[in-house]
Amino acid sequence: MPAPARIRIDLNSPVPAYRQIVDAVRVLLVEGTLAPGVALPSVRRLAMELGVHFNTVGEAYRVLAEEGWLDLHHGRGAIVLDRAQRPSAPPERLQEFRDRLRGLIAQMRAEGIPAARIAAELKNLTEALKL
Amino acid sequence: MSLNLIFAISLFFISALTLVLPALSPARFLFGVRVSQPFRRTEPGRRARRLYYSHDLTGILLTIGIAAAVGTTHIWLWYLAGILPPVFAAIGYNRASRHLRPFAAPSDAPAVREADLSLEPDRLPRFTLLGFPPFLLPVAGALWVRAHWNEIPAHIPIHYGIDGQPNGWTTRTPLHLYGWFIFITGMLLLLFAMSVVGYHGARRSPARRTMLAMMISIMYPMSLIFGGVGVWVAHHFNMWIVLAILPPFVAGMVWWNHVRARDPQPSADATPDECWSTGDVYNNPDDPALFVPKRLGYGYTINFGNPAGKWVCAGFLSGIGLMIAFLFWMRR
Repeated sequence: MPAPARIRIDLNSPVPAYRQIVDAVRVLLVEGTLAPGVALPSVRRLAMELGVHFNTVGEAYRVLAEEGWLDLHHGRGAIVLDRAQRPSAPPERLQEFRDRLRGLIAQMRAEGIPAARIAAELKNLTEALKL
Repeated sequence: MSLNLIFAISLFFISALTLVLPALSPARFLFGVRVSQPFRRTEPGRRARRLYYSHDLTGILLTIGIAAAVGTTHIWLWYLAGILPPVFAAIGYNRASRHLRPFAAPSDAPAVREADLSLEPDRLPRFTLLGFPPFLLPVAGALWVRAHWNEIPAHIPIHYGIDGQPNGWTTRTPLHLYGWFIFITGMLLLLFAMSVVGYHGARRSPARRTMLAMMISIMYPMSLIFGGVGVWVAHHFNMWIVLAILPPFVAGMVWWNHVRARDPQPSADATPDECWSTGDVYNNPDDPALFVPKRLGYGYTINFGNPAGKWVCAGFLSGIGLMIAFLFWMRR
């Protein structure tokens, strides 16, 4: 039985809803829950289920298409692409991710999470995402 | 069997429905306003209900009074007065709703929303096929008329007085006899189309299936009664046999709604309070849903903030207008 491909967004979160959708769908794509060739719900249907504006989901799909995850075709919806040949991130993107991770880890440490626990969480998440 | 008597029975059911309306609403809503569970028993809750009932009863009594005053000489006034109970109920609903606004409970619309991306395509349930048999009844009626064409009198009644005697006649033509079946088929098509559009335009929830099931259920008595009238015009038979299904059907629908409205685990209501106005009118341009469950307790309503919602509403009303125009043209 395939794993459920559920996404969850919090409308009270300071993170914009479209960004939450991008992040949630990307996790499902990276871990393989959404396999290449799978058709995602139409913009209208997903917007309706989440109770957000069409543009919010449309923007999320556009971002994922720009990242090479989705093939957007008018009338056909969004199809998951095969990213067997993953593009290697340029050094400046790597630095950007490093900065974001550093900020997040600093926040976790500030909230009392031990460094060993953070390292273990990172390791588990990396393995779960089959990187 | 008098058509005016049929109208009087319909009026009775409409009045009865408007009277039980507050009891049909889900416990978390009263006249479209979000309230806490015990609110109905408080004085403001009781006052709102009194306000509603006073309007509703005024409409019902006015209708009865007008009918008694004008008698059978101005029967058209009966029809005109017949719209008073729902109109007065709507006014009472709005006034009660406005009265309750200051007591509205905080919104419990969930901030966390979930969606399943791997769901099967949004197909109609199999029971939707049950929407087709009602179309067979007008066809059967038309076939019966065709088979008994020579037995139908050259002049057929098209209008009846309150005494049940015909007071309007026309000649036996295919248009006059088959037109009624075309009319009812058109009305059934409209209802079926609205059911399907409503299903696809609403968020996935058990209530959506219930709405579709109810709409399809309504097609059966509609087809039976109106199809029966089409045959009855050509050959009188005891219409009470057909009309007898109406009371248990309406009672069944009311009970079904009541059970659903009392569901202890209702679907989360994601509609913001400020988007509901004039009782049960929903207008939210940011909500892509075309149809949302009414707070009234039964059925769905169009989201007028959605441009497609306005088109659906206009299309439905135009369809009804077209069918009524056809009816008048047919009986000219």
